[in-house]
Amino acid sequence: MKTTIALAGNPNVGKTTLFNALTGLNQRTGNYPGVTVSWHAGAWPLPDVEAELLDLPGSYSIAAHSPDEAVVQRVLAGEDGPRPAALLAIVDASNPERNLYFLSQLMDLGLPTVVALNMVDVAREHGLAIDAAKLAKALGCRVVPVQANKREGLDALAAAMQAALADAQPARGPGLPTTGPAAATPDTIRRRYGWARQMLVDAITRSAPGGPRFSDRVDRILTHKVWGLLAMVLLMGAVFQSIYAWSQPIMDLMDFGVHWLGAWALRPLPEGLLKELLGDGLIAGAGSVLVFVPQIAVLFFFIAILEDCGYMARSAFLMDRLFAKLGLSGRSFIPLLSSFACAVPGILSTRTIADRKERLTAMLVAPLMSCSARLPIYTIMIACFVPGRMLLGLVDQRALLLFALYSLGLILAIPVAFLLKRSMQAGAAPLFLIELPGYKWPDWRTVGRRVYEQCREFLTNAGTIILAVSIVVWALGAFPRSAAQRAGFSARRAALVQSAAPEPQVQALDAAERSDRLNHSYLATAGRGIEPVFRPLGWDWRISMAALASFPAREVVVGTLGTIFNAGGAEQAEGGRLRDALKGVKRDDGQPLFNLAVALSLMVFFALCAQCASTLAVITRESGTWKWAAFTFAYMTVLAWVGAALAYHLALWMGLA
Amino acid sequence: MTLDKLRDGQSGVVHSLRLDTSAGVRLMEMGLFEGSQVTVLRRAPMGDPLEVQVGDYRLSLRKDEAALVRIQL
Repeated sequence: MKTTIALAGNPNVGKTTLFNALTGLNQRTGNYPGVTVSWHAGAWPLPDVEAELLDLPGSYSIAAHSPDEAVVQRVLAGEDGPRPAALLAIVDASNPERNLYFLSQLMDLGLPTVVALNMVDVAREHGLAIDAAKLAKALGCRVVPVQANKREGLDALAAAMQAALADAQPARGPGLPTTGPAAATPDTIRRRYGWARQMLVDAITRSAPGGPRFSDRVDRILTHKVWGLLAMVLLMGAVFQSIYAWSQPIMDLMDFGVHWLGAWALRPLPEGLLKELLGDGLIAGAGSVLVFVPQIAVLFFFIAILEDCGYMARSAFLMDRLFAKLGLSGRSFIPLLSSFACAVPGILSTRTIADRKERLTAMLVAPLMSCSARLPIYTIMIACFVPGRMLLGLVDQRALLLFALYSLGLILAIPVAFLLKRSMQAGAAPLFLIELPGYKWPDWRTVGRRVYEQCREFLTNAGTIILAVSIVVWALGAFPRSAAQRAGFSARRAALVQSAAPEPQVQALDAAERSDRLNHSYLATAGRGIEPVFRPLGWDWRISMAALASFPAREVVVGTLGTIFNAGGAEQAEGGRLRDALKGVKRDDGQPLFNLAVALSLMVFFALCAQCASTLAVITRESGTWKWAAFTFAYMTVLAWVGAALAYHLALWMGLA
Repeated sequence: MTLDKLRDGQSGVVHSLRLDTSAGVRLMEMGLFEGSQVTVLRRAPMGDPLEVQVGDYRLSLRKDEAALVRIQL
């Protein structure tokens, strides 16, 4: 039986860095039941004990104001599984009073406790010296000075914990209530701070710090009214650009790799259902999961750095006013900005938002931001149906339309966020109380760990749902298959091969067969069934079918249109074949199916709809229930439908068809 | 005078807090209670939130929350 030791402390005191330094790479993670807080546990090699260190969420107080905050109290009281055998409390030496306030609560829980006194170097810089031996005497428990980022003092910490486990002496704080309403009354708080000061009286020496602090000098620029905003715009621009620029080549490479590997692995298989299932269902589905990984990795690389060095809190500080009007806070800024690249990492990054209601609101509006997967449909529709013309001699109307499509989701997010936040807001408004920690150099192990964990979690949790949805949609598009038609195509193919026809002719026949099969599949039946719903948008059953088929990922709609109209796959689309095919398609009455009005309605629909199984899977995962994903799908589909219908009829009315 | 009325760079001592909301208790837990020394360091670009020095650390809070804190200069 392993001995469990809990690690607790304030946020921004180097707790995660200490945890990673003590446990190394061998970690387990999971979620506490009923809340959105995740736990991390890892083996801590102590001299004679097989111990597991459990990292608790960073907290300022044990008195819970929300279910998420109750986790620390519940774990330490043994209400979430076995009670830990001991407690490792980390204290920031550069901010001792507030840290000792939390420590007083921890010690009142009566577990054998060891205090790790971290950031001694920062404290010294601030003119603060803490005598660990004197503090230990006052507290009545072991105190070990450490430098978690430099991995100093870790052996002494292990020895102290070993000794604390051996004599199993329960810690004794001021003896004030830790649970219930009495835990956070003004009187209790005053008495705890009084205790903290008393503990420090003999142990602390204050001297005047020499010159302005490093953090102050940096902050004079980075939180400046003009320079701070400018620096932020530049920084965020660079981050955003990197998500595109760094992940795009990796994504293309992965896409190519998956296809190549699929083709290679399936070569020995005979043509037929199994090969299609593996190739078009499983491997294509796996590819659509993997394609998100580079974006998630790049975004979390930056988020981890920004958080670890202390800038994240500054960006929230700078942007808070703007988001406060929506009922959100500055914390929502980075998740929503990231969603312009892709909502999946954007939603994952809402974990940095402490308030649960705000986090949920940000999560639900994130998919409205125009992500990179919308670009293929915008580009093909604009290229086909919007003539290039300079407006006022300044700007190409195609560029203006693209900009309008990108702004559409953002503008609609304002009332949606406002309404969501209001409907969720029962009682008190959330607080925007954030600490602005001193700047420090990021700990690269912590950054690497964060990126790795985020990718792994996405693949194991959301990945499986996305894969399943991809296979189901593939099957709907591949069945039923008529034996007569297949025989017909086989005969024609055999004839072509016999007459030694050139390769392109054989490929054209393959494409024709794919097109024929899709147009007689269950998906086509569904498209016909749902056509009346989409008729006000100017769509026929084939466009309706393409919309249905793009449920797993909206970018596949271009490829699907290609298959439906027998214009080859997405690869040929850029070559202009899809463009010609789309322009040539007729309705039953002989009118062209596509025109500017239909193109606008399609673009507006895809700008606003939630056709992305990955996003919905991640919302399910992060909110803890599929209901929020269903809600997102419903509200976005309604918005998309209304928006597309308005666009279509407005265009008709303006005579743009 | 309340904390939100302090000029940038101005210091004061907390006189009392409005404790009829949970925000007041939160502020106390963060170290803002009777007798604490506070300094307003700066305001964000649109005048809100504020950055204040409380004890040995910096806290950002909105004007609405700062208005709960009565200050003695």
